[in-house]
Amino acid sequence: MNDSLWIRRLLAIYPASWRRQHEEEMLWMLQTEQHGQRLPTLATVTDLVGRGIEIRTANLLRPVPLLLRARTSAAAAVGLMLLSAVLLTVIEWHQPTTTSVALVGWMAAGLSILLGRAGIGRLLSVPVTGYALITALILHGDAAVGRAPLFVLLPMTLLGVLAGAETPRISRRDRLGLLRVVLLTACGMAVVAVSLVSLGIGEFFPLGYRGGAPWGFLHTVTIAVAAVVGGCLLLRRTPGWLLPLAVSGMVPLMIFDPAIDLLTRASPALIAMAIMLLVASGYGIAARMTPRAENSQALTRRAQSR
Amino acid sequence: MPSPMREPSLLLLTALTAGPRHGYALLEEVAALSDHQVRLRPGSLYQVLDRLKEQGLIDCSHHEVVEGRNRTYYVLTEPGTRELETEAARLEARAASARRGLSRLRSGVWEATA
Repeated sequence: MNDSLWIRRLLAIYPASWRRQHEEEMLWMLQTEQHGQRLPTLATVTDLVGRGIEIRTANLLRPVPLLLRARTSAAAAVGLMLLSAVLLTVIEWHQPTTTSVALVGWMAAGLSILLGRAGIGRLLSVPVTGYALITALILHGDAAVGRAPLFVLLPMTLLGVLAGAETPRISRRDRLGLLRVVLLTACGMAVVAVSLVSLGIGEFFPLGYRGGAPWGFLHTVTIAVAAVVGGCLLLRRTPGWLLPLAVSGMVPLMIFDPAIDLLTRASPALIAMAIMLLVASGYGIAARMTPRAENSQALTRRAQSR
Repeated sequence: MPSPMREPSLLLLTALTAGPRHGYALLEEVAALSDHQVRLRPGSLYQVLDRLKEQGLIDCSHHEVVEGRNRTYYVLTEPGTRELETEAARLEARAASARRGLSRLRSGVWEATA
């Protein structure tokens, strides 16, 4: 394949309307910039592919308001981080699969966003989601070194796509509030879990996606207590949405756990926890980020000034 | 309050104050203006150019065919000139504040007021 054809194929990642306008000039520029090298540098290729995906995504999402996209992205990234943390702690730590890598990546992406590095969070979530999708397509879930089952991996991949589709926006106050919730709830859960195990009350680990020790009443109580403890600790300084977080942590697990268990036999608590975490994080972000018109205008101005 | 302009946009608008330029010339001028600290890649360059054009800050002045390939020349518009003036004034004000602070620090005024 000659160089020009190679670059043309690379530029196919851009929409046709963009190519009609810029392709010839871009081709000339890339060939001039190569300074005698046969192919563009890796940095140039990465830039081309990244911008191409960004332009295509922007065209696709143009009808959806920017503020809504930014909020959805933030909620998806934070929910994904929490879900990844739970999966890593209760299952993958003992039975690692190829999904562990994606879970660590999604946690890093969510944490970056909570630490105020939304751009880095988005940059991380795109390749990690790509990796998760590829493993979902090519690996078998029951193989020795397989992946998490599709009922876990595909919804997470969808969240990853949402997280990467726009640069997430969370105000500083919300970021710090969420960060506090995450850290203190994790500490509360760890303290309760260690206490129960050291007292010899029940067998806490290991848990599996489809096997291992069943997720029973004890685990439900543990999580519920941890959620309430974390919530009470935080209520002093945090707003009203923390209470729904604690309640939503308890109700689905306490009520729906046995029913789902009978119906599916597929780690029902995990599904319930996923729902709880996503609803709680989405609710928390949506409730705290007041949808004022000036916010939307400021966001649009910021995006335009890039 | 309008948000500050990003550096690539500022440098591109500054490069266009010298007259109409095509994409590759702009890449080179942005690098020169920033002492080679900002090196735009082709994908990013056209993304910023398209955005500035959408905002009405630049426009296409003319096309030129060189070695059978079309080149587009970009030019600064009137709103683009005003936006660049505003941004330059904002940066000057920031720099002036910093200089005032530095001169206070050097003259030891902060010790007296602390």
